[in-house]
Amino acid sequence: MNPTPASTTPSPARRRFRLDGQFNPQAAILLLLSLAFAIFTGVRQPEFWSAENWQLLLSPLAETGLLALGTTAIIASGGIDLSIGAIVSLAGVLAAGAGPHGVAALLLVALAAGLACGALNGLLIGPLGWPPILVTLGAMIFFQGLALSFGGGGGYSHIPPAWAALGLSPWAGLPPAFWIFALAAAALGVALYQSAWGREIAAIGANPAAARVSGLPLAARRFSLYLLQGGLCGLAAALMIARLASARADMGINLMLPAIAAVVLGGTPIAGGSSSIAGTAAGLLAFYILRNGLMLQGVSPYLQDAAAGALLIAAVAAYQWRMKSKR
Amino acid sequence: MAAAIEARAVSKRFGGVEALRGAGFRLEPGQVLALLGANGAGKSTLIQILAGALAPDAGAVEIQGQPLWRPFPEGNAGMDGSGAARARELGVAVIFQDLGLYPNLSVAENIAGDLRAGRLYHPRQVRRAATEALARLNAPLPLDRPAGELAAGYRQLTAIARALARQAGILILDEPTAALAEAEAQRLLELVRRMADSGHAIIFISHRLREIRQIADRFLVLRDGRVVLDRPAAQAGDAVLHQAMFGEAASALAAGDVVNQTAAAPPSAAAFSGKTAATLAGENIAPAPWLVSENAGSAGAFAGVSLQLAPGQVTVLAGMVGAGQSEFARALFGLRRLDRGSFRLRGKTWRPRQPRQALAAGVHYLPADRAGEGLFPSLTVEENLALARLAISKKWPRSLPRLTRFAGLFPRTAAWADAEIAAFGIRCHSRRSLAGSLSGGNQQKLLLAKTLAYSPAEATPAAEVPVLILDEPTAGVDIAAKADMHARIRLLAAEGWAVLVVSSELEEMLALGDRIIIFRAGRLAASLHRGQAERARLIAALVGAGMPDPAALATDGLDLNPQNSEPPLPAGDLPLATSHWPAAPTSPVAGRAPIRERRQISARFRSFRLALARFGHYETGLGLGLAAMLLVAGLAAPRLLSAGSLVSMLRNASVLSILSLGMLMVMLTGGIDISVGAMLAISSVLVAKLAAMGWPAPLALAATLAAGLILGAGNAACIAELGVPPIVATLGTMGLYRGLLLESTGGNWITSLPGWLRALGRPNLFGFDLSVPAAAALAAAVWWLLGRTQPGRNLYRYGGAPRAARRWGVPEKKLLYGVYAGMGFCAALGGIFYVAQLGAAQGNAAVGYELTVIAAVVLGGADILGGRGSVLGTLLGVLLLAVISASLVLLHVPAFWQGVVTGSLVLVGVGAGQFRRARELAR
Repeated sequence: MNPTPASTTPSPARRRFRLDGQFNPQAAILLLLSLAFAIFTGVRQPEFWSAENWQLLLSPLAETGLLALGTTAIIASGGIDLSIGAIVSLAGVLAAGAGPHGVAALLLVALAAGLACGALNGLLIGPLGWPPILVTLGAMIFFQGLALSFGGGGGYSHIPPAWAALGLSPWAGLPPAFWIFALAAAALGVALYQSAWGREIAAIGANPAAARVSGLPLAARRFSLYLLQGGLCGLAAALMIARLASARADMGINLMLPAIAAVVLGGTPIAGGSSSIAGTAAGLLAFYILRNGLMLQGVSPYLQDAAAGALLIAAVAAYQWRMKSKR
Repeated sequence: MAAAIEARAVSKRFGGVEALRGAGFRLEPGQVLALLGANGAGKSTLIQILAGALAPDAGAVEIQGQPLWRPFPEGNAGMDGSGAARARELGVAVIFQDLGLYPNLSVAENIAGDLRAGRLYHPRQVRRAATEALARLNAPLPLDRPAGELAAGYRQLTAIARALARQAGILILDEPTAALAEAEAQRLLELVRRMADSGHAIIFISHRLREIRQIADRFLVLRDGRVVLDRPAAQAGDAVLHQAMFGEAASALAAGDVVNQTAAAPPSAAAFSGKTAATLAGENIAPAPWLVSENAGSAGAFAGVSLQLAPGQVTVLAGMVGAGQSEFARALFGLRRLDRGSFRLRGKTWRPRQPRQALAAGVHYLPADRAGEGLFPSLTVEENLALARLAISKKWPRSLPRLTRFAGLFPRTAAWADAEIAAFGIRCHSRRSLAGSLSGGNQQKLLLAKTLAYSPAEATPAAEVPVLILDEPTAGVDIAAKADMHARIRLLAAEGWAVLVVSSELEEMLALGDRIIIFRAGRLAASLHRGQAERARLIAALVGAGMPDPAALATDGLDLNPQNSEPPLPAGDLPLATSHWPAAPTSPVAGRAPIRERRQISARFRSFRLALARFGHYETGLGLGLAAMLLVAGLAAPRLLSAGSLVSMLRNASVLSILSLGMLMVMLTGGIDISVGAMLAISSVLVAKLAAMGWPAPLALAATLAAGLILGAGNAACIAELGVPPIVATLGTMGLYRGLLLESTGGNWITSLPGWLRALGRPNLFGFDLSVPAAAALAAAVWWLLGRTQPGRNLYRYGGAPRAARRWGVPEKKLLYGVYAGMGFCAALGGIFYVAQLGAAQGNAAVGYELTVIAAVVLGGADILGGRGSVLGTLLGVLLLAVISASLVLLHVPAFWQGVVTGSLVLVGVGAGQFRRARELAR
């Protein structure tokens, strides 16, 4: 029919390409590149392929990964959550404070704190309809301030030994945190692409005004997203405590950027309307393989950050270039 | 004399689709060429080529004898804006359907803001030029009102005034009447004719044959990318045109039933009415009122509306644009609040708060704004249908396959979706095509299918017969599809639905309405029943005149004398000749005074009040909040208000304000820069190192500022050249810049600074250091740049409507480079004072500083989406943060709590901004 001249296409950037639950070439390229880098690293540093190294690589991947999963869904809905790292800090400090009362108390407090923070975000963004980037910017400063106020500058180390042991004992060769992440990824994948909930979230991201007129439950869906993200943050905080056997008021500060970077690396468009869970997983893997590989080859952590930043720009630029040549 | 436009054998293909196949035509000055064609015939592509926005694959286009596109141009990219600039130079002005206005800017600036090629922006000259252009249109528009707040008809006028102000010789209007009601459309047509008579060459695109016939000198019909008809108007009868547009098969239908309806109701519609009555009689349902409106009113839209909708009837709401009929329909669906009066639905009070509630009660709505409120472009056709269906009823009908992919989750909807696609004649590759990839007409069909996803076939209890509200249901659809949609709507009424159609098209009113209710200026003006609704009477009722002389409606009855602004009207006083446009909507500030009185208020005072109202409320509130906070904190800790403390507060705020001014410019374009903390750290380390190495002061400072510019340009390159979204690009460069910095310094402190660098941060000037005057000078410079120069205005243009800005030739790349390099410059300047005040530099300096900067700008009232923000607001935002931090220190609150307070304050600021926006929308 109409050969889509530019003046009649409402949002060309969004409609050219579909990711939802389908093959995502960006993720495939990313995986191939990381595999090549892994082989290169393995040749130079054989211990890269050791079980211990993969334990070391996959545990933090899983913690960031939980945040990235929630971020994928939130970006699909046209939102963003900048407060995830701060929620991890707050939930971590509070949970570690409850540590002396046992594992159950620690887990309960971590989840409850995460959910409460998520509920606050969700309330302001969902029912009140405030813009996510600003709400979560304010919430980030607020939650991080609370974490510092409760936790002070020091650390907590009264972690129940049973919980700390979880961080050390692999299940079927892989860290428990990774299995939890994998399970969460699969569940979220089904929910995002196969359930009405997920399709409604993509619809809200694609055109919020149309979603309102079509009678979709915007406030409830948005609230549920930020609540879910809060819960995932609480879970990530608990897993982090298990791995580190301690907690600090700034423990989550450095998680926000890798989580968002992994989602964007995986090809989920920042404008919302579609998403790729597989892409997010690939983005996480690429990010952490690069980091780990550089570390093994003795590159300073500073240069690792620089390389990660360059990788992020390169991946998105490649995506944009591909979209442009596709036209 | 050269032709105004000459196109020869123009071809263009998109992927596998040949949009144009050797189309050619000639247009002389003083002629109106009517361009016709079914949906997807290639009209849009042709206009874009004439506008210089698309390069043809083959063929040539000449404007006034000058080549616009040569045959086989090398490169052929055409999307870089050079073609568009050339077309503008040659005097081509295209008024696209979406008009390309800047919703955030005033009417005056929209019309004449970028008229002068110079670098400076003179608000008074712009106002004068805009006033002149509007005077030529005889259209009093409120010059200071943001264009986004005007009704559609006034926006159309603004766009035409824009073209007039540019002295364009060739005007291309793409469906200019689609969003206009009958009377405004008439005025527009008359205006177009006058412009042609004064020598303009005009291409006019419309689906409404009757109105286009009034002004066209020649008809050009496209079908499947080819010119199938090109002849003078006198030799092109309706039947010939229909045959040309739709081919042999469609000609009988189009000529016979749909288009050439006369005043009497067509036989098909009459049959519908008969059937309705019979059905109702047979089932013993009296056509009782189903939905009743009693004296309903909503501020600024309509008042005192009392009417009743009966089941089994189609009620058409007609009126000029902005007469309140559309807003009334939205109120019934819960998209607008009632201030007065009430609705009753099936005997009960009806006060919907949102669409969900309306849908649950069986009230369905098709929005007029298809792209804005209708479809989900990145979802498939199937998902668009299924989600609408799901929202309406949780239970899927038994006729659908009950299979689900996973238990309890998204039901399989394939068969149902295919049936819907076939039933509504939606032309798409498959049900899995993206909704955004369909052509305009097919999107409209999908929208109707989506609205009717609650299929009437599902038996509903008689007591719950649904109400259907359709706002311009056939906009942009070709004639054959339109007839089909009309039949479908009549069928629903025949099945007992209560149908309300808002329409601005005469043919549609006549084809659909059992009853036509006319709105005028927000009030009910007339109500016509099917039998009474003949064309002439309807027009008379629409424009508010007495019964017209039918002869006056013939095209030759038009008085088109351009010299005479008040020509003698034919009997019946029809507004077909130049009469006044209806009074423009009053501005929110002066809304109480009638327009005449307002004119007497001095222009300067008025614009001052308007400026205060538009941009000032938030800043005023912020200033008051700041004063209150100073007062309260001063009572608790009197030392805060001492001169020394205030001066040191300003010193502490200066670096933040320097960075915030840069960030303001970035955020005006709708961007963001997360790498400012890293850039500040690099600059502070660099200047400290250079100084320590013994570089002379001017050289070290210049090198540092240059480095800032380069870092900022690096960000700009990622955004402008690689197309990476700003938030992602600067997230990446933040890691990159900071990582490289720490790698080279290793986190060591640089403390051995030479005297000149320390002197920059020493409080020598009445307790101030140099950073305070530097920040003040920067603020003045940014204020001047944003308010008085074209590049500065371009930030508002680009941020408010990027697509329009690109189309009108705002140099996107230059602007992005300028803004982000400017941000880098500000970060470097801030970095120099940062190191001077601190007396030391370190690679880990200012981690997380970007959040404080963004918080200050946001607190200052800038819109995160771009196009809105001010220097004053930003400075107030910075001061607010500075006062808080100083008070907390003086009140001995632990430093950790500062985050809690700042965070809550940002949230309060966001809430206040939301409140402001909600109040603006309510007006």
